[in-house]
Amino acid sequence: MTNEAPRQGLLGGAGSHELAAASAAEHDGTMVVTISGEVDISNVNRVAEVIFAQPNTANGLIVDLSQVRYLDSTAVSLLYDLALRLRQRAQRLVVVSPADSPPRRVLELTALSANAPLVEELDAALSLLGDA
Amino acid sequence: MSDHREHHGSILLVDDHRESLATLHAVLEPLGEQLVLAESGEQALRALLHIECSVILLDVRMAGLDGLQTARIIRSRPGTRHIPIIFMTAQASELEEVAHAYESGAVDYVVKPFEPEILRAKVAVFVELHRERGERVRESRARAEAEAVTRAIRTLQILSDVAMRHLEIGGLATELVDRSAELFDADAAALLLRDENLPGLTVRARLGELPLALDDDHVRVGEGVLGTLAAEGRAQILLADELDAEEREAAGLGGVLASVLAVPLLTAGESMGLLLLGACDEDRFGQGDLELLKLAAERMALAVDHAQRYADGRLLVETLQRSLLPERLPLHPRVQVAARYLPAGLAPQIGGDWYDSVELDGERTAVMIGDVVGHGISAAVTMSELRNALRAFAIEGHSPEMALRHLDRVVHATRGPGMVATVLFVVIDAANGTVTLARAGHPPPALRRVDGSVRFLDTARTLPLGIDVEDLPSEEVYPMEPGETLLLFTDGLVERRGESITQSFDRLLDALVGAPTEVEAICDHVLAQTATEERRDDDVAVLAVQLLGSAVGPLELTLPARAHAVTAARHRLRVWLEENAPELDSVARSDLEVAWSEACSNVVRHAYGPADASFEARATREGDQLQLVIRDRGRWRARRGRFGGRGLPLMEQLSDELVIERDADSTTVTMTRSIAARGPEAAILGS
Repeated sequence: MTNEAPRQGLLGGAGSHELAAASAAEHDGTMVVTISGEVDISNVNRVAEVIFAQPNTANGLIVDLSQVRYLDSTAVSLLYDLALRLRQRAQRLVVVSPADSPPRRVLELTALSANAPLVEELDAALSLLGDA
Repeated sequence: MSDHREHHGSILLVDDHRESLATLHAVLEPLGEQLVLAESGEQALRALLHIECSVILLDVRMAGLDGLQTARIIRSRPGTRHIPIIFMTAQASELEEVAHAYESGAVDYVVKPFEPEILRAKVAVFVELHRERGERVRESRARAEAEAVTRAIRTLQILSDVAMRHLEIGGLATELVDRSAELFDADAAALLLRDENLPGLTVRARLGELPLALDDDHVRVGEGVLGTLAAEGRAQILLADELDAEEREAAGLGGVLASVLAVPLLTAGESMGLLLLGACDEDRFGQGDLELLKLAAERMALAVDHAQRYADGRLLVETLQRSLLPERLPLHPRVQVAARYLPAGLAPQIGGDWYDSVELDGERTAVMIGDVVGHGISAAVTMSELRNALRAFAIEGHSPEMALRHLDRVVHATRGPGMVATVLFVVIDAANGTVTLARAGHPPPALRRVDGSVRFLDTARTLPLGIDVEDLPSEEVYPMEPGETLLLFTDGLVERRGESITQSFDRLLDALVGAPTEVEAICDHVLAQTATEERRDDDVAVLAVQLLGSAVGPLELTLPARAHAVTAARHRLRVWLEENAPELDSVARSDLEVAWSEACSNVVRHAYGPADASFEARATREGDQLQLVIRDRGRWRARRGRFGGRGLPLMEQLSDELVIERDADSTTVTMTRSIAARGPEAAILGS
């Protein structure tokens, strides 16, 4: 199902120099939201819109931050919020963030892993949700 | 010419060419208004003695009295002074006369051959304004006769003027309260209006040292004394002595006030507000006051309703327009760009102003601004086409001159005659320290030098695109030093009724002289100093471009407390760190970016007051110590926005030392961090 067109492209209007981009695609029945660029207070609500617009699939949601260059506490709070919502529906959030990447450090400092597993690669995230 | 005394709001068409008059007649006939034709200035002036006129279309070039002379005479007569004049210029070369046209009282101008649809829309706006004004005048006349109260007329006129003057609900509510209290000699006053977030009516504006004491500033429709009046649409004088304790409380008479005049604001029979006037004695307000205030309340209700509709319409238009403009301008290492767009204030509609910016390579940045003549969807679509085309030419590597020549061809090929657009295209070369610009009919950019002096880069005047394929823009090159700022704008920023172009341009230069140093703050300052919020006739786009100097030395920013400023601050710090602390590893660099952004985000979320609050951000290096200081003016308050609350712990963990100092009117966050590598124990806290 990966041939599906992204549900949402650049986060913004007609311009092509947006701070971040987010797209969603289905991998074997699991929705993966891929975010790239920088997420801060100025665009976190737009990122949230893309994420919360995704269909409710059985096992959970993967948010792939491999392409993210900068991420701050507003984005962390968004992920917390998302993890909580999914847990209430007995679903899981898995976050992909390679070690030594800038987002990874912020996610560790804010202890996101207590609420959502942090993995290095998308494949690991898929198998984690697939096993559940 | 027959006598048109009976007709209200004729449109007067003045042109010494019969064919032109015939064309105008055909274009404007669908409006269904009386059209009066005059073949000379003299004939027009004679006609104006006999007709009531809503708008005049006046040819600039005419035999005998020309358009400008005719306009001056019209302006000098008390009976015709208020009539809006739209100038028509037959040839593009007459555009030079536009400045004179505005001086002689024009409100607008069109270039022939004009787009019928645009001309019709323009004229329709003035006809509508005239009709509204006529209705108001007629209504107040009829009522005055019925009432035969001189004071009533004055009171109503004053309040109607207030209602007319404001398009924005906050200012309207405040002034209605102030003026009502003054006219009725009240000791206290309050206006309650519907609030979309709450049931019932909420205090929107109040006045008086002895305030009306309402519980929670709120009245539930149908409950209590005031709520009942509102529900029934009934006005009444309430006396404290005639009410029991509970009723007194509910009527706002819990304090020292002895009487309250309460009048509901009704639209379509429904209460949309409540006006309360209070007095310390019982006999301040009589039955006559009650009747008069009821009449005034009708006007207030109309004005409030209009302001609320206006706000809704404006929001829609702003959203639509913003979707056509770049969401965010690119971030260049050496060039800082900020932009603002304001829709027209007269009536919310889509405009044709646009801007864009493209990073051409590491050193060169293209910045464009333009204005498609006209409003509405077709102008917006054209604007979008031109923006995309010009962007493509810029990316292809065309020089400003060539890009505009290509664009002119696009205009001719795709839009046909009658479509007119002005464009200014600038390329800033940070390596060479130059700015290359070409403009087609667009106002020149203003340059502010490091020493604070300002001037326009006034290249040879050329025609707007779409007028003459033979008259092509050419480019010129100017030096641009680091620290200098270029201000690009559309004519909505400088056009103001009753002011000459020279005065307007001077005002803009003055605003730029007094502006702060940072581009975001410059845009805000220039807009605040030049654009009037209410009754703005045209949309406005303004863009500030700054060539950044060497980043060695302290980084000092003053930024508006808005979310986008956080991004700008972070990118400035990123560049600054590269130059001032090159030995930092990538982890430390990104730590500092996060700490700095979090502190800035805190300001944006917590800064007290409206959107024009600002904050200061400063980065310095002393030896191997880096210090980041973020200072806002105003106390922190409950956070705004959805996602927040984790910033402070991050700031603590990412800096060696975090100090927050609060005093009465500012909060200062100081973070220090050593450039020396941190121990591994500090690297992963809390994982």
